[in-house]
Amino acid sequence: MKVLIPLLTIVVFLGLQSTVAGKIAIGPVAPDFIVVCVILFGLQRGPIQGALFGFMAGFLVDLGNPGYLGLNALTKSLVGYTGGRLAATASPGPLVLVFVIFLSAFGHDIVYFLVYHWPRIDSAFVSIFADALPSAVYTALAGIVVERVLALLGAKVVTKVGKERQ
Amino acid sequence: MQLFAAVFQRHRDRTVLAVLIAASFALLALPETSQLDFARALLSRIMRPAQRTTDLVADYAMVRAENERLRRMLATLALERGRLLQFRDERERLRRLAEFKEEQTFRLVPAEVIGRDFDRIQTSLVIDKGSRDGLHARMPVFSYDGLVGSLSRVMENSAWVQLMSSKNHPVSCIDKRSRVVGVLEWRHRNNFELKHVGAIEDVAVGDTLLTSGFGGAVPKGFPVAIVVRVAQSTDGLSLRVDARSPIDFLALEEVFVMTDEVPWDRSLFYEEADTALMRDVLEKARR
Repeated sequence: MKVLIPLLTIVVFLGLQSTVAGKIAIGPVAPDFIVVCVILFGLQRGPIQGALFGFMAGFLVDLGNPGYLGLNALTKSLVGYTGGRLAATASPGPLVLVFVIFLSAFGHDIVYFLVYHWPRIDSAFVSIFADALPSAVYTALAGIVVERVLALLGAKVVTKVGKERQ
Repeated sequence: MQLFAAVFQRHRDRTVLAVLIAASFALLALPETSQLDFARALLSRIMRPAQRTTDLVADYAMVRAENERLRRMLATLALERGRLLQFRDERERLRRLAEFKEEQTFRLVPAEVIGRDFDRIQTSLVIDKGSRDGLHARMPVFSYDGLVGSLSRVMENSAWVQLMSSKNHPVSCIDKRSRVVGVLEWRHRNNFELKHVGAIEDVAVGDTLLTSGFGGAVPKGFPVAIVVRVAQSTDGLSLRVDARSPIDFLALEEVFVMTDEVPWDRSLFYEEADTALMRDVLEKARR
């Protein structure tokens, strides 16, 4: 059960990413539901499980992206770990959560584009400012919606864990 | 060993992260194996029903508008086709006079996009045609506006299209006007750079870049991108040529796989059934 629930969560969010994200994209700017999923999981379960969950989710994303196997595993491990570390130090409310998701998504994309475009740093910076920044904003907004929906469904996502940790 | 255990106990989270980062880099350095091919095929098969269902719902709403657009397109194409037939006949006569080799045209297999990367950077698509429809790896894929990419992996009923808008898909191109040749490499979204163009070469803004046919994978003469900026590069030896593809790679819904060559006189232009079908559709649209 401990492995099944995270796996099912990843599959649900992969489905969301592959179907809904494209439909609600504004031009080339689309939310990254996988990053939302990983950061929320990290916030809920701490750095170790967050990093492992991020690695697993990233690896599954990589399976659909021939040629760059490991890139999403790397970036999403970092996101999950960061989420877990943040949860240990603070109890984010919805507004802080928006900011946390924005920073995580932006940080994720910076690492992603630097590795992806390496050694073309100029292309990486173009992608970071043209794609990553607006996408991070969109991801943060989508993230808070997802968090609220999960909260309505009774899933402990953020605030309770933060309080428990204090 | 005890030292490692003590370090692990004290810095468990950092150790896990370090191991995962090392594993990620190891994966990045790994060559693609048949095991991964199998895993990818499995993943696309698992996600296919969900994608098809949502696509069906979305498509239903778009069908009416699309029908309208297609009728208009069909009318335009019918008129253009009439003119093309005249030009083709005239050209054939001239070619025969000049004893040129018989021109070839190509067979296109239409395919529907049924899946995409889970990743936000879309470097590949999944289409609903596979080896059962005669597709093979490396076949070129087109949209109405030009080259889209090529088949990277072909399964029985589906295939992966490696998009041009990815780092692994450089395309040899030729300037339609000046016939300057270069290699088009992806930079960002639908922006590309034409590499290996000498500083004295004649490339101008607005020039159309066509496939050069070099390498044999993609046939010659299909539109790829439009030049949007030309500047001297910092080394002074070459030109920095930026180009933009008219294709919105994120919005592709149907593509065409070029499977093989068909002699000109056996092309669909001359099929009576095709002509009759076109006439019927146009008459219905007028009513």
